[in-house]
Amino acid sequence: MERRLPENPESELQILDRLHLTDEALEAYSLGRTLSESQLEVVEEHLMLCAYCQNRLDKMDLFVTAAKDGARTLAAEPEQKVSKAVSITIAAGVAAAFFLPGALREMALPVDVELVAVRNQAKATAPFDRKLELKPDLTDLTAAAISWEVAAADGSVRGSGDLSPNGGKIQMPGLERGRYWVRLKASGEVIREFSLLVK
Amino acid sequence: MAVEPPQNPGEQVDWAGLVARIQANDPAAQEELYNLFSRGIKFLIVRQLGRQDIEDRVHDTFVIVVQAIQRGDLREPERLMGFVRTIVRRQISAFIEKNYMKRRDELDVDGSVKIADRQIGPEEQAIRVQNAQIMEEILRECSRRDREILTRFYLLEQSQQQICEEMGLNDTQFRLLKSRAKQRFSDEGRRRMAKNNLKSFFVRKRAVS
Repeated sequence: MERRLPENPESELQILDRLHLTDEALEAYSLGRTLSESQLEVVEEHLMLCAYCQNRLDKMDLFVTAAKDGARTLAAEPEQKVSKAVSITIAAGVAAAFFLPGALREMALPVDVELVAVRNQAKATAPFDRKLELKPDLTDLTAAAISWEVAAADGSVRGSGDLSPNGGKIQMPGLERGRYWVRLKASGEVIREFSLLVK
Repeated sequence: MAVEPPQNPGEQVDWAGLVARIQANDPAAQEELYNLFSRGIKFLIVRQLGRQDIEDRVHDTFVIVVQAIQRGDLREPERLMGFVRTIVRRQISAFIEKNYMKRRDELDVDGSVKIADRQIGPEEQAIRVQNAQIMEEILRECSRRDREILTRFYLLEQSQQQICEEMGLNDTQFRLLKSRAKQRFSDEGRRRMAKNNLKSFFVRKRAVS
């Protein structure tokens, strides 16, 4: 029986290639990228029966995890040293950066921050004025649609949006020093809250 | 020489016939259903919930599927795969909900809930560390641009479209870069495994002699 995917103008991702899932589909599923419900249906129905694609997905998971871990390690390293000739140019740039304190730091890769509510452990911390990628613990949350907001201690909301259903992350520009609250909501009600200290 | 991928097992099944036999309480049909789906059900549940109680969970899910078919809940036998998948997803949600209710009784004084990690064993952890080292080497050997492209896609989770637009790539160049990185990862992984196996072989030989 031939399965045909409904038209999805927002996504050109090809899910099936004759008999099996495409590498792109497996990668998107492994990465937790947003697949439409119809795409997810095709992928998971196929995975239920096809050991060949299950094995391919396991290998894809290994690669994706390794790519993230490897990239994260390199991103956390300090900047490379430069030659004397270039350093003069950089010195001028640094002077300008003194008056634009966020500019250079904004260009750097964001800092990952895991938000986990764990008994007796310190609240999450993050460096000030650096782009952040917040990863809230979504374990046991079953709501179909979850939104987020980041609020400062004075109650002002510094950012908000919708979480992706698979492995949602929150990207925030640099924040000033202080305490913040990261709230997850469903149907307007707070279902989980994390404390975040920026210092 | 390219190896043909195996046939999709679902392509040859008479779904309507299988459903009819299950509704007629045929034990052979139930066994056939179990053989078809148990591995896949286990696969999906393990991805979401880990291996804890996995055999019981697969069994519970299977019983629910059979009972639902026998009750006549499946209106289109040709959609048996979709039906099973729906039940699996509901079971996963139910397991998560049950876990949450159980842990809600263990609230900390500040309202935080202890999250059970899907912990990986020491061997899996060692594999993960090794794989990360392999990727780190591959990324270091890339050009700065290629490294940025891969970092954007895998770590920053930017879309292919965004990366191609901002970095002036076409789809083919993007796919080729990822494909080369995956191939190198696979080759290096195999090389290290072969090296480790050889090492263990000589260690065993020495132990025996």
